Amino acid sequence: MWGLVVASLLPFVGAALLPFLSKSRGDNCGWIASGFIVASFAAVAISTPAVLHQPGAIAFEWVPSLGLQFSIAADGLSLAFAFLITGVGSIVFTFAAAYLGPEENRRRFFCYLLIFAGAMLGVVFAANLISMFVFWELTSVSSFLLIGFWHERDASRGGALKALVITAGGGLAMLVGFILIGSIVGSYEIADIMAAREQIAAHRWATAAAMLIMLGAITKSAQFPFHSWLPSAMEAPTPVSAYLHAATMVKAGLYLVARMGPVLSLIPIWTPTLTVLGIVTMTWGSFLALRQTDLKALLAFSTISQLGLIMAMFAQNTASAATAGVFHMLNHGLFKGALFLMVGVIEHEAHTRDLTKLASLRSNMPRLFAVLVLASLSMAGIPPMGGFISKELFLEEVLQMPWPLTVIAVLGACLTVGYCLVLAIGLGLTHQDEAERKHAHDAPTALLWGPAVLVFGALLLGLVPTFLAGGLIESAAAAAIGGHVPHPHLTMFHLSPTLIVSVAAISAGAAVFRFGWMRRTPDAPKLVADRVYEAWLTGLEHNAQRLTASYMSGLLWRYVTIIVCVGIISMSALAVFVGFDASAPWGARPAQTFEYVVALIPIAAAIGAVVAPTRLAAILALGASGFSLALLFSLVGAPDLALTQIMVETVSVALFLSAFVHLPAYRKLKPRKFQPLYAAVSIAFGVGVTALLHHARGQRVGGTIADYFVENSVEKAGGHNIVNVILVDFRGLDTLGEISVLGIAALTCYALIKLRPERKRP
Amino acid sequence: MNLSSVESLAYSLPELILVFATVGILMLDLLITRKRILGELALCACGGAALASALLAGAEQGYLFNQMVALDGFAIFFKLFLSLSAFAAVYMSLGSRELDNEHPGEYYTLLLAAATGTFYMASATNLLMAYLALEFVSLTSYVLTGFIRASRRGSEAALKYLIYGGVASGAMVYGMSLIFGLAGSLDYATIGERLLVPSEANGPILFIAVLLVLAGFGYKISMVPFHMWSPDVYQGAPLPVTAYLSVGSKAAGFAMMIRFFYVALSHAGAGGVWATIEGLEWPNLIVLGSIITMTLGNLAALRQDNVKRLLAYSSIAHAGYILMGFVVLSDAGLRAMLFYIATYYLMNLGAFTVLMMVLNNSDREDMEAFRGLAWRGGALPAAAMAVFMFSLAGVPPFAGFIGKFYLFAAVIDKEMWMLAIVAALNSVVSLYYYARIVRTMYLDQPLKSDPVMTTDWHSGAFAGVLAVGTIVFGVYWRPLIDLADKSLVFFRG
Repeated sequence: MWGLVVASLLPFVGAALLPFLSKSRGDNCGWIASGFIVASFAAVAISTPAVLHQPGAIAFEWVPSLGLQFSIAADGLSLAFAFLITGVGSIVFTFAAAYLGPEENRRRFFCYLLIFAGAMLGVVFAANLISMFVFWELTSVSSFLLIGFWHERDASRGGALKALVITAGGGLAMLVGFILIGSIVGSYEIADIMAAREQIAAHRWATAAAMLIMLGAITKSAQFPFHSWLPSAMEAPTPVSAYLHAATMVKAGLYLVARMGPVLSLIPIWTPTLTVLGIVTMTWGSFLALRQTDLKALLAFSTISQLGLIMAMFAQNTASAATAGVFHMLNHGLFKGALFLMVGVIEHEAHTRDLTKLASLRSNMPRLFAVLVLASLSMAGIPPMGGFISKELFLEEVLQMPWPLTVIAVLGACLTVGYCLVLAIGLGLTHQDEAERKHAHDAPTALLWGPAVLVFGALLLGLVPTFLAGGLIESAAAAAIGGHVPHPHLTMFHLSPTLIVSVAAISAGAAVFRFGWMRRTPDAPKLVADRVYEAWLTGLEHNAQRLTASYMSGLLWRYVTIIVCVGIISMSALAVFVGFDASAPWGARPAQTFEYVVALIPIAAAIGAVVAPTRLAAILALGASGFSLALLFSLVGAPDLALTQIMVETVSVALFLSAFVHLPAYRKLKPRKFQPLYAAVSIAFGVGVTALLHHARGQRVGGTIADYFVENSVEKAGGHNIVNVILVDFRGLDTLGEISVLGIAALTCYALIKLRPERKRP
Repeated sequence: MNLSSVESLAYSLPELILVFATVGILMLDLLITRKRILGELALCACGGAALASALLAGAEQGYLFNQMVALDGFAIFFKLFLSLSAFAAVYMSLGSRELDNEHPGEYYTLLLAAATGTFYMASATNLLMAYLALEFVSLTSYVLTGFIRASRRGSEAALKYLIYGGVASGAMVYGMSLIFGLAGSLDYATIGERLLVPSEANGPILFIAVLLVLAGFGYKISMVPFHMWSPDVYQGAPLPVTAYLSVGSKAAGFAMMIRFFYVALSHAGAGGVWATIEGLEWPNLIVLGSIITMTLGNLAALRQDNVKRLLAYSSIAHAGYILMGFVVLSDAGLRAMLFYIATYYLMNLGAFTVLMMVLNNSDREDMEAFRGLAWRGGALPAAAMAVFMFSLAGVPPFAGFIGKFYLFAAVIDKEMWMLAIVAALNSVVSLYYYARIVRTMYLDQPLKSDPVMTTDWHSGAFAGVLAVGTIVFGVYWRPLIDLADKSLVFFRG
């Protein structure tokens, strides 16, 4: 187990040390980074026998209050993925060390690549959903930086952002699903979750959790309808593409489905949905692959297609399907890694990767062509490659499915053979241009041995699968279904109905290639999913901007209107749903005519302030409104309030007047006219507040404070004039405060008067 | 304990330090010519206040100043946090070129005064005290916003802020007077007791009164529909002031809001679950506010090219996220809020620090000023900014993710699906515009005309410390969550 801890830490350690270990120009950093990943591979390999014998786990305390541990667990499933990550990783790293020239910033590149590898190892060894999620998102972030590595290309920047938004967004949905599971079980440890699977399946959140986690998996693994980010991500440097497609990133989704399969397949929605999505993705992806002229795009769509196949297998959660899934996953890692690296070589040597422009590889790059053919045969599922066995296993499963799915899947298999033949035969047969022939030369061995090793691996998987990986596959499949798996019989030679289907598919594929591949559109049409993504994005941006512009006008009076409207809406909502109590009496005593007249003055003054033609008139009208309110206060028996009001009003009018001297001239930009909307808003607000106040009367719980003053005025303060006692005694400090406020205001007035702009002397 | 005004002074060391420093700076300004000392003094005062707040942690809890403010775990948490915010604001001001040649004496006086006000916002247990503290902070903020007199944008922002604030706090004080009329008390605990027994008072009027009070809180934390001042003000104010408004003043608003709603309008039940008082379903109201706030904030940020304004909108969105913890009525939610506020400090202040470095260097604050930042001498600021952006987006392994995790967990535990889904979608949208900044810094090529980024060591060090904090708390957040846990103590007599 500790070997695996070392294996997962090595890439991170490498990334941290790389800047210090490498030479100033970064010449050697590719080899140093390769050293770290090879060491990691060795650590995985050494730990394998022990782990296969007895899966283990190590836990460190992380956040005990949340019951969180930082735990690492390993079984066959993690190991199968770890082998891919470190094994294909070793090849990719060494390839990249030779492939990237000194003009690239290699130190940065290998730093990102190591973090990427480490994050992937973290995902597969995490024994806890939260730490798995952390590493999961770390792969998204590091791939964002890797995909955008050739940042002078516009497409690569767009691709990087798209990949990040889709995968990290799906990751968030997955996080919500994880939290749901965590809330049901009360733990985020995968072992606890496995133990509580019946409880989860019976819970009413189960379907939601399954859907959310599925969303995480299918976005990460580029399944339909979220497949569009993967072809955009091909702008990355070729070794990154190879690594991303063959061993990392997209495989994380598969890992999640396999890992959570035993739990989530108990939920009815899981298996059917994922199966349909996987099969549809497989066929749709292979159809799109056939229409590409860019070699890398062709491979990208083929990855989507192959991932769909594996996804559908893992979704079944049966022993045979899981075996097929694990086996094909390993196979795919080997041949897809080789194919991408070889496309890198072709691009490096021929300076194009356009199928229609490439000269015949058979004569120009014979060694590379031989390896390429073997890899393509494996992808097509033709003996003696490992791909043949995995396709047989796949067809066996598919034949048991409902017939529409079977038809779609077999069609997908035919198309797959078709595009593989494009690679294997099409590239060998293209026209021959003498001029080109002189330029082209075969791939250097330094670049070729990596793909060759991978393809040799794929060949061995076909010839001696059980010897090579039987134990690993058995253990991995067992983990993926959470039960026992019979020892797999992986063999090239057998007679069964699948063989007939297989032969038929190969012949049909050959026909597709023979009659179909020339009809490829030179400029591949834009993906529907791409268009949807872009339309969605521009629509969102556009509408967001319109929405924001509509209310963020920068005009203060509009802002205030919005607030007032919110007030009106909430008051009317209350009036409708709860109802105001209108039966309460309006006052303790009927108002007298004189009081009505006095009450009209502030109203008139307020209207005056609104329609006043000059600033001065508005200020004076406002003042009149305030002073008449003071009059009203004194009439209804609140002389202290009236006094305060007069003071405040005097000072504020004075402040207004002296401050407005400094403002620029009052200009009318356009003629003012009556605006019914604002009148209505004002009136509605006034009516609302009045109704509110009326309703509020008589709803208090505590007694009024007046009683306290009446009772204690003589006893505690020795005064008979209660208002006086309140002002100088009970609220003495308040009065002091008021006096200081008035004093400060007066000082301000004085300062403003002093500051009056100096008149120019004649 | 319930101490009188004079006795309370012994427990008011942080505030005393700030008040003495405020007055001291004002006096010193008249005496000395090397004005930088004033800023350094203010820095020491904030540090001292932080230390003094930390020392209060062991003190007996109780009421100070005749039941006007409380001394409890919650208040101490925010005192510590708010003094650190003021510290950051002063530190940034010292390194900001925008504020050179302005009047440092008055500036630091106002800043420290605002900080003192925020302390009382966080600890007030009386409506009157809360209102005074809020108004005190607002008044100083208005001046700070328009502090650079030559800046027209700043002056406009200050005036807008003033009038908007006037409307909001007018509504608030009106609501408070209604609550006083209904409950007959200004004291939170008493209000809570009197309204606990269902009566006629727990009707629509109380709801309206709470809504009006919410206008004041909402304005301070920039919650929709009271948020409209913030983009203009954030953009117009000097950058350190913006940073302070978005972290310090906002956190104080949250503290005040939590205390009012939880102490006066709810009561604690068993197992860390709270219940509202009868007839006042305020969480529903705020769920709506939270959803609209985060959505509008994020949508507005989507196409924003001015990074300062973008951060203003993002700050609105984050207010929406933080409110997620507010509505679940549980200790878990409150803890998530405190935790998020603390992580928000790291990542948002960090983003503002990097923005200030860019602004100092190029006098620009739009997206183009970040173009290819990493490739023209700004490797450290660019790396730090990337950390802050990913953390703000809630991507692991950064502190922002952990904060969001706790918020989501609290919301999902209460089965508030709508809120959880909207928040998740919002996070995706926000990732888009945060990643756009990272893309601009790393993946865009600098033009020949873009200046070489030079970094002064103290801003760089500050950004570095914040970035390291963001990473460390993203991986090992136990001390912070334990602190938040311990701080969930409200003294209610």
